[in-house]
Amino acid sequence: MENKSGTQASPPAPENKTDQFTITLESINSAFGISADTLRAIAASHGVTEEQIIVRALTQWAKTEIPDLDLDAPTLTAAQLKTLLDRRTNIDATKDQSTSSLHEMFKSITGEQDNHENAKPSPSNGEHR
Amino acid sequence: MKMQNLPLQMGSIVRTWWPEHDHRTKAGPKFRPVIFLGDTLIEGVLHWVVAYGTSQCHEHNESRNGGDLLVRCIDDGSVVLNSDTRFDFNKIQAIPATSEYFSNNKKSTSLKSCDLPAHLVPQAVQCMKNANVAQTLKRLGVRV
Repeated sequence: MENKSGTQASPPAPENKTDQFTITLESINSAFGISADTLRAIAASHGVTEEQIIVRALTQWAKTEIPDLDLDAPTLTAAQLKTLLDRRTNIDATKDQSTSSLHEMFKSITGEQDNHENAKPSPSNGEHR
Repeated sequence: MKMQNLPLQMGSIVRTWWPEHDHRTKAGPKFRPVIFLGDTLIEGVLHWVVAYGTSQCHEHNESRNGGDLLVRCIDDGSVVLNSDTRFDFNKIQAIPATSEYFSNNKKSTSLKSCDLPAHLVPQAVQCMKNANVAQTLKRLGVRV
């Protein structure tokens, strides 16, 4: 296409990005993801390739991630990109906060329980439990 | 085969072929997500002490003492966990730390794991308290 001055618009500068991705699935289903066999079965049930079904799944998920996603628009808007970036920033901020680990918090709780047990008064008749 | 000595810590989420109730010394049929709580030696064999997990998050399956923790896969950082998962701290087992129990193909010694999201730690601790996990770990010989 030509711009108004009659010269063709120069293509955008090439960036070091790839449009091809490799994924590796495990041989069994688990909470960590479906298996390769499950992917093949789902793809076959729709009569499409595994790649097509993955793209379908990603597209559907993108629509839940970005409620105002317009698939007729070729790229995300600046506002949409900012929303995604803000989430990343919030996640990083949460991780940077000095929070106690599960182990540390659990130890502090069990320490409190032990102190509570030790603080129980002994029976007045002198017997030990 | 022994699993590789990974830096697991309390709260790490791994998967295991959870032994069924009537076959506790045998790897079960389902590769369940579990929360690592500690390790212990039983008859000279290293065991990992873990809390049961399931992707079946129906409310009617929850325990009644508040010992359940629901981890949603959209929770931050958990890009390894791809399904909402309910962990029940009332169901804890010491399982041999071998590939038979912790490997997806029962042969590999490598382990895939993720961490409990940081913002769920306080809730997890409360669930563990409700389920009296401290007493269970003590009974199993786990040093906290």
